[in-house]
Amino acid sequence: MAHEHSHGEPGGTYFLDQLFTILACGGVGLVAVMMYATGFLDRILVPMFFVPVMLGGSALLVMVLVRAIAVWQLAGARRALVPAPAGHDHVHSHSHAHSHGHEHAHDDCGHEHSHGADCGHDHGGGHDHAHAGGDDHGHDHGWAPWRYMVIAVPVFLFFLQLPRDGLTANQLRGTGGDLKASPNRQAVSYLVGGSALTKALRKTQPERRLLAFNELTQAAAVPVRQEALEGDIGVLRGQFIPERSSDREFTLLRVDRTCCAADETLLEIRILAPESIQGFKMEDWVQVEGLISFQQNARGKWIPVITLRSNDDIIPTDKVANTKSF
Amino acid sequence: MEQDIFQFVKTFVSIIWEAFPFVVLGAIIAGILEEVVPQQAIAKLVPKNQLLAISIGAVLGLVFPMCECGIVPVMRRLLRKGLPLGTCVAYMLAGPIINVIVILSTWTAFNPHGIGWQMVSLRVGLGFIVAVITASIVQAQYRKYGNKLLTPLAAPPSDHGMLEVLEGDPIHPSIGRAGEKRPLFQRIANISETALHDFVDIMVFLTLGACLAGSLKVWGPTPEDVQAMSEGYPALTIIAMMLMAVAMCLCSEADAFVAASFKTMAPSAKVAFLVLGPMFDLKLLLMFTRVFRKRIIVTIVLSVSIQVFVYSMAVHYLWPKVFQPDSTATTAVSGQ
Repeated sequence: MAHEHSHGEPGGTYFLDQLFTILACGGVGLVAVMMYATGFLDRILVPMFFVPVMLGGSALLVMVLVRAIAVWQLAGARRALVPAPAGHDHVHSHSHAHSHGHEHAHDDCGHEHSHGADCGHDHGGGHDHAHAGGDDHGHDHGWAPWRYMVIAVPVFLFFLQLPRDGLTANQLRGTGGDLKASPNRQAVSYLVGGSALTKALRKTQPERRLLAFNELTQAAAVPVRQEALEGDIGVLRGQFIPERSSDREFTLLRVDRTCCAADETLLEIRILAPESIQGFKMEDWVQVEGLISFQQNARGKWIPVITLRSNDDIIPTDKVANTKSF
Repeated sequence: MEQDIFQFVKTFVSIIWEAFPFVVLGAIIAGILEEVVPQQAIAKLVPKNQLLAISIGAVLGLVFPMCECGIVPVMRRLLRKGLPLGTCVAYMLAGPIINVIVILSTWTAFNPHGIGWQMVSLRVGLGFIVAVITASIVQAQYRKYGNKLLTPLAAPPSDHGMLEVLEGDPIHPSIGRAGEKRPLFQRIANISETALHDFVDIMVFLTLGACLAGSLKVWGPTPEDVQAMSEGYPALTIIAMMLMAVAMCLCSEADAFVAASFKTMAPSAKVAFLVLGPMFDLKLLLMFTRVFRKRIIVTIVLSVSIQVFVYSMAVHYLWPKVFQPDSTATTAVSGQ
C-alpha cells in the first residue's frame, strides 16, 4: 500500500510532519470542544455556531485518533524494514506501508521512481511532491514547521483566556457623547422643560411597551416610526455604560452580533435619570422603564432616549443574548 | 494600545472559530472525495458545453451550500477529480452567494428597510454574472496554459484530463488500478490523512487572513469613516466599500446585516460590498495560493473587482429608475 516516504531525509520528515499534524489538529480539536464545554464561545460567536464548533472539534479529534493509529502502524512497519541510505538520495523505499489517498502498488504505478534527473518530482525547498507522471498524491509532504506554529496561535490564545470577556474600550469609543433634539422640538422643549416631555404632552395615555432592543434602535432611523413610538413608555434591557459627561445619564448598550465578533455592531440608547445614578458598574445588565424620545448625536445619528421618572426605574437584570428579544 | 490589541485578538479569534466548522467539513468532504470518487467520474457528469458547465457550477451552491472557507478544499479535490476548472471557479465564486441560507439572510437584513427583494435579486444576479464571466476567462486561460495555472496539489492527473474523458479510461482514484479493494480501516485512514492535510493547509491561511482582517478592523478605517468621507461620490463610495469587503473578511451569511447597518449609504455601494466580499477577501486570497498559481489569482481578482465596480456603478444610476422602493424605505436608505 503506497510507499513509505522515507526520502532519505535525516530523521524522516514524513513522520515528523505527521506527528506535528496530529498534535496541531488534536490541539485545535481539543480547544474547540473545550470552548464549547466552558462557554468560552459566548465571547466571540453567536449561539448558532456553538454546536457546529463542538462537532467540528469532535470530528477533528476522531480523525486525529484514526491518523495516530495509522501512523503508529506505519512506524512499526517501517522499523521492520532495512533502513534507507543516509542523505537525500531520493531513494524511495516503496514498502507499501504508507497510506495515501490512493493505492501505490509499484508494479503499475505508471511513473518512474528511480529519481534521476527527469524524475518529475518537484523536490524544492518545501519538498513538494508533484508527481508529474500523472499519479500525484494530491498533497505535498513539505516539512514546514511555521505552519504548525501558525495553527497553534488560536490554541495558545485559548489557554491564555483570550479574548477577554466583555466590551473593549476600543469598541466603546464611538458611544456616548452629547445629544441634541431636533430644532422643531427644541423650541417647544424650552417652554416645557425637556424634549421628551414635549412629546409626552401630546400622548394623554402613553402605551407601555416591552421593546426588543433593535426594534427601538431601528425605529430611530425612520421618522414615521419615531412618531409612532415617541411619547410611549418603553421597557428595555441592556448593559450599563456610564456617561463621562454626566452622572445622571448612561448608555444602555446591546451588542448586535450576527455571526461573530468581527461583524458585531453596538446598539445604544441614552438613559436620562432625574438623580445621580449609583450602585451600578460598567457592563452590568439592567432593565429600564421610561418615556421614549429621539435625539441626534454629534455624528448626526438618531439615538433613542429613555427619560426615567425615578432612579428606581433602573433594575438589575439577567443577561439577554439576543437583541431581537426584550 | 492595549485595548486595540484586545480588540484585534477578539476579531482575529472570532473569524477563525466561525470558519472552523466549515473548514473541517470541507476537509472531510475533500478526504472522502479523494478516497471514494473515481478519477474523472465527475467530469463525465458535466455537460460538454462549457458555458452550460460553468453556469451549472455557478448555481451548484443551491444544491451543495458551502461557505467560502469550506469551499476551497472541496474545490481543490473536485479539480483533481476532473471537474473542469471553469466550473470549479464558478462554484467557488458564486457558491457563497447563490445558496438558500445567504439569500434568506440577505432578505432578512434588508426587508425591514423595504428593499429586501431588490437587494437579493441584485446580489444573486450580479454574483452569477461575475462568477460566470470570470470562470469563462479562467477556462480560456486554462486551455492555453493547462496545469501550469494550478498548484501540484490541485492539478488533475494529466494536462488533458480536465476536459477530456477518453472512452475506456479506467475509473478509479488511481488510474490503472480500478477495482482494487481496501480494508475499511485503510480507507478511513486515507480519508483522515487527506482531511487532516487539507485542514492544516487551509487553516494556516485562514489564520493568516484572519490576522490581517483583525489588524484592519482595529487600525484601519471603519465603515462609518468610509460612509462619512465618501458621501456624494458614488465611485469613491463603491471602491471604499469594495476595499472594506476585502479587508473585513466577513462570512457571507453575516455581511448583509453589516451592510444593512450603513443606513445612509447608497444601495450600489452595499451591492458592491455584498457581491465582492464572498468572492474575494484577504483570507480567501491566501487560501487561493494553495490551489492556483499567481497568473490565475491575478485574473480572478482583476476580473471580479472590475466587474463588481462596473456593475455597481450601473446599479447606482439605474436604481431610481428600476427599483421604486416605498417612501419609508427611501427615507431610511437616504438617511432619515
